[in-house]
Amino acid sequence: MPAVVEIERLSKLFFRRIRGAGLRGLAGAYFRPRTEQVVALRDLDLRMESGESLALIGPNGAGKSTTIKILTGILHPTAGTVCVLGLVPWRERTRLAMNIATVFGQRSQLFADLPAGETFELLARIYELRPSDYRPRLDELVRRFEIEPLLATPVRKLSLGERMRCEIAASFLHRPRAVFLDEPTIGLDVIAKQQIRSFIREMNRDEGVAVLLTSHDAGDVEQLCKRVVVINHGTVVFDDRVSVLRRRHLRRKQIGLRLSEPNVTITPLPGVTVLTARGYGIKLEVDTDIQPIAGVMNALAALPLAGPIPLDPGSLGAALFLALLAFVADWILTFSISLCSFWVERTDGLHLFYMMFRRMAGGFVVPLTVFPEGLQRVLHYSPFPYLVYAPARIFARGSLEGSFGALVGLLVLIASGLVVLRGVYRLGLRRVSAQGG
Amino acid sequence: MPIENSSPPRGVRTLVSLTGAYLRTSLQGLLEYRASFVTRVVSMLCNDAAWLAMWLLFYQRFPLIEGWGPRQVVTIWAVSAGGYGLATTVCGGMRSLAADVMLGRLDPLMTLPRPILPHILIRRMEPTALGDVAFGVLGFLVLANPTLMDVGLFTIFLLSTAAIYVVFAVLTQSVVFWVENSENLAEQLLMALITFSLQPTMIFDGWVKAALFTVIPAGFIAFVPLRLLTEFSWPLLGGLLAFAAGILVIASAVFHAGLKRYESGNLIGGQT
Repeated sequence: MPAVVEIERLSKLFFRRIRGAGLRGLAGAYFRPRTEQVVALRDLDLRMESGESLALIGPNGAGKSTTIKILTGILHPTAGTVCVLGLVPWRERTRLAMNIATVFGQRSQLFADLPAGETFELLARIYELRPSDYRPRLDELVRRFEIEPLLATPVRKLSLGERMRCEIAASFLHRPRAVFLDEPTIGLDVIAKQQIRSFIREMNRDEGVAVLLTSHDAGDVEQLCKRVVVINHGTVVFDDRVSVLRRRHLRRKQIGLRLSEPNVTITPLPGVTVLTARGYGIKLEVDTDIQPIAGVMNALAALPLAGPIPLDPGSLGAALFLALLAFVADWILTFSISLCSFWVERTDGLHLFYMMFRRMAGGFVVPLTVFPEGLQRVLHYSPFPYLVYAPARIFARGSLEGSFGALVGLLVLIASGLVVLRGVYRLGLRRVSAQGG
Repeated sequence: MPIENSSPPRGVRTLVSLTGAYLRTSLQGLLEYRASFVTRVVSMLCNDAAWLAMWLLFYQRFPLIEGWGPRQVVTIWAVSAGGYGLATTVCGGMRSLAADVMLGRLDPLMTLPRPILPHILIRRMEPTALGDVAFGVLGFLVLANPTLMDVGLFTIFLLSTAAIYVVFAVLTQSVVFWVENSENLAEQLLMALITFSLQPTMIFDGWVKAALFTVIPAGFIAFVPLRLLTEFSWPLLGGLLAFAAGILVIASAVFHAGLKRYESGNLIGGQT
């Protein structure tokens, strides 16, 4: 299979000015400047095949970003040979750029003051894309990355997740054969990370685009890449499949249990630590070097694990009724955000924020039990946990425990929400008539 | 995996087309803040006009200094301000080149299939520059009583002056590849060029005059255009254009030599 990237004995040195602390150090550096040599890469060897997805991981300062910058022609190496798609990046940078894409998680290629759509148009001119190629490609990327509502909004008003979707869509406009991503999910929330990963995975699978990414997020590596290269102090220390890395080096596994009885104690096992044990749930951590997973599973089989959910008509009805009330409360909140358009031009951002908050606070993304108890208590005064999470718990437990309080809370929320909505709507209407006059 | 069909866009036509696209994009960006944009353009127009008015009042009291009168003042102001305006309208990135290098802001541009130097220069537009261009053109047409040939020459001078400003800025700002934090030095040198280009060149002599045709090439912005307007000669015009082309080649070579030393950076940022 032809190689996309071939690196042999690549080295890169930087020189850093050093000075002592205080005024004396400053004066010393002024009259007798001293520099120290920093080895960013040392005899790095790497090969990446066509259509491959490869993760480059390592601690800060290991040389990941430097490698990407050399591969894209931004930096000149100190020694070694590099070939990307058969080209030497720093000598044939512009020719290479026609065939690759680079995304820096911490740097934007979009113009902050302009809608992303304008930057797309500009990129089409930069890559000299014919309208007959550009238009269908843009439509396809807009649909795939779900960015249609964002195209008309100035980039500075987009959330980080929205901006990154636009950034990555922009980088695929010219149909690159390889894409280099430098920490593409840095700073993103869980949902945005999943979206970005899913898009990149699709492009790798559907268009055969080779993907090389650097990241500190194990999720990026596990979900996007089949092969992982670990570099440290500028040299490769591990190069194999992600599964091998997981097996050999990521020894600690976590196991979550749902039990049918509360407060069950577990017989201590070597290499097994109880992380949390609360009510019906227990979370364990297993050091697989000391205790094989199979042994732990055998021991856990003796515990009263929660079995198939019993169907209880009472709890099913209560769960459905609570969910219905919660959806009414949710509708009131959504409508109240729409009413903000009396005062602000666009409410898309508020809606997006609300949707994101609802997903988090509703337990759609991660179980609410991962949050601190204080926060969980606060969240239970909002309708979000009752949308899906609380009804599911009531139904799963087969008991009405906690449902009365939830019912009262939701009714109060709906009643007060309706009163507030009416007031806000009337105030807003006055504003419309004032503008019209 | 060799590349089969991957020629990057090249040539003057594609560069002009890209420049047009960037001008449109920059203007749209500036119009996001409409009030600020209009205020800055008008302020620059007023600023240039106020300086010129001051000189004209001066010449009403002291009519001629070594053949230097109101028409000459109007001409060099129009050429210098108009040329500078044109330079920063089309190549607004020239003044921030050193800062871009220091902060590693060339990275996103270097991943695009375009020659890096023109791309750095054209990606930004300085809003006040349009005020300078308007002042230069209007000032020359209204106050200098030009003939048709004068207008033709003035157009050439605007282009040569703009080119000299741009390449001088590139040359001085490229020093940053070797001397860190030299942005201020480059800025001061550009200011010196602007200042000297607005003075009556004939008051200088000897080494200073030699410097004004080499180190700080203000002579090619003020003296040569004035001489050509009063007494046209092809060799002098050829000399002016040859100087502009020569300094362009040198600046480009210096920049590309420096680019090999570019160290990038990891500051968080975006396109502005």
